[in-house]
Amino acid sequence: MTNAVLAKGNPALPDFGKARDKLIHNWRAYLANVMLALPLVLGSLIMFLPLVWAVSFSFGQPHEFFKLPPPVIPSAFRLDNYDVVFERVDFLRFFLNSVIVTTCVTIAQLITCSMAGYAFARLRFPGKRIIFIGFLASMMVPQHVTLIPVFIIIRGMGLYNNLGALIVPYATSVFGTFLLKQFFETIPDELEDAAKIDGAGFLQIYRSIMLPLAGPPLATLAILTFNSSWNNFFWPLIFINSSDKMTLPLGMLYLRGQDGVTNSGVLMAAIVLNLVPVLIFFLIFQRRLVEGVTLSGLKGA
Amino acid sequence: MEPSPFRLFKQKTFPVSFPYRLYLGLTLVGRILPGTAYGRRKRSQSTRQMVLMAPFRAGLRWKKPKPLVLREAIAGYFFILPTLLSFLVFFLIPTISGLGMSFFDWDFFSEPEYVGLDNFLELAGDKLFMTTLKNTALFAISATALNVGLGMFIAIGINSIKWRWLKAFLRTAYFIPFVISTVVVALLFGFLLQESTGVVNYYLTRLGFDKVPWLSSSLWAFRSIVLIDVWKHVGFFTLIFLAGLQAIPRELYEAALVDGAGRLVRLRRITIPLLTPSLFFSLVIAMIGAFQVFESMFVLTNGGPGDATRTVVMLLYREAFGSFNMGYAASMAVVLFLVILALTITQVRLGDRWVFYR
Repeated sequence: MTNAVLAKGNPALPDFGKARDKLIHNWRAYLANVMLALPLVLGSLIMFLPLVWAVSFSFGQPHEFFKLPPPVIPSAFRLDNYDVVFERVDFLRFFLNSVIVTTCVTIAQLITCSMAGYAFARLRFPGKRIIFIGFLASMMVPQHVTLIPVFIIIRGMGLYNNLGALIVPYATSVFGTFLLKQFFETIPDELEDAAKIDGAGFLQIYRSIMLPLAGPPLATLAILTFNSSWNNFFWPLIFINSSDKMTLPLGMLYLRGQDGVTNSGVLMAAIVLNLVPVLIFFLIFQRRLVEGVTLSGLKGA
Repeated sequence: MEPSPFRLFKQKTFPVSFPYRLYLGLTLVGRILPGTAYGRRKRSQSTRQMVLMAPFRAGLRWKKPKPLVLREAIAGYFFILPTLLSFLVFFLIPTISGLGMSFFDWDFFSEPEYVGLDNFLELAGDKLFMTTLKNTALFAISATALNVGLGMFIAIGINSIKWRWLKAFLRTAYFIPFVISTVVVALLFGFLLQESTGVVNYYLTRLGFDKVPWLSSSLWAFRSIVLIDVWKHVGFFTLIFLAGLQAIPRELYEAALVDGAGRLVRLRRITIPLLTPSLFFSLVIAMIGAFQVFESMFVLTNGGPGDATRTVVMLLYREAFGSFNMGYAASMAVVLFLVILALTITQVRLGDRWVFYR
């Protein structure tokens, strides 16, 4: 931007004419941009390389020590490692479990969060503020404080070693409630008043006025929830102990425990199988995900 | 010139960016907790006056105290019912009983026995717990500093690039690791960082460096874990800072240009001061997250070598589900919570001094 000042014709400099100034300006701006971008681009390589290596090693041979230098582009596309993955563990089962849990959690949260968000933003009832502050405070308490009692409660509900254990506690979310409350507060009162005059009940207002407007925040919530539920590791670790109930993250650990899998091409193949859906998901929803994370920030960190 | 967070919070439309709103949420929680002042203190007021005045000030904020309508109240409870129920069953009751449990000695199968503060006294003398606490704190400090610092500078860098496509590319590139599950990340790096056959060491030796015992020496194992954490999370903080940067009005830079301010001056006098709310928010979030770190250590090193990478949560997990010392594990959780709480309150209070609000 200093260049902009220069280009406008600084009296301290000899006048080279407009075209010359512009050229210098462009050239210097270009150089500054490149100098700035270079370290950042190099840094972004560090972000990519591990993923690239995972892919290239997954196409190597199983149970074989690797040829060094490691190929960045695999020399042959052998699928042996992938075969071994499916041989050793029921990988599709893990995947399916993950899909089931994640879908249920996401749908449940969309419903419960939008309901609670609507109530907190739009309805008056005694104790509203206290309850809401309680909700907010619960975001500050680490889940490990509640871990053991929740473990007992879940066992008591008969959900131990059941996918339900991964769904029920996550069916609601304080964060999502907060997000939706903030959104519903921005909706003008007139819309609601008009509906009330027409004799609509609260359920109807929620269903036919609030929900249709809440598309963007709901999408944001859905994507954030989907991502965090898909990657949840701690809860399956505690509540699931048979391999047919495992979700992907725990399944990966289970796979590593199998003979000859630790640190081999087979593990890389499984990692790639893990990465593919996540990256597809990321590419499709990138915009919204980035938006959601920027807006909210609270999750996942 | 900070407005009372509570008042802003009550406003229907926010003139401020969302991270800032969430920050306001956090300060709100911070302020109502015991030991923190409620709202902003005027110089002439004592704490006691403030606390006494608080309900009245809260009362003043309601513009039209409409009477409650029974139907509306019923509807309200109906709508929050699922969330409230889940809050009670999975948060409030467990929290209270978790706190209570820390005063008992219980092995899950026999009858719990009340032992008073014994668990905490035992914790204070437990060398392993102190080691894990030290590890966790060290991890939290280094990971927070690196994540937030790097995130900030990457964001400033990305923001000053003029080519839009490159901006978009870089933002995506740094953010990708964030969506990958920690377990997968840890397994992947476990593979790449092997000492004798690892890819990373291969390239290091090619460049003329010695092989680094990434996961086998206690010092390097700890560093590796921090680096992996940075690899995964730095993009997240970059995004937060990018949002903060976009909220800075262009006119400020233009005015500075007219005054002849150079790049560094603009960075020091405009960008960084106006980024302090994002910086503060990131620090709080990063700290809270880092103190609960578990997965990468659990998968990658399982606490080893020795106990060099064992964290509080790992020890807690082992005590609770390995040795069934439920009361002891609960008391660890309580200590962890208190540490996080104390740090957050300190950060919020210190934040008042250095965070700059427009």
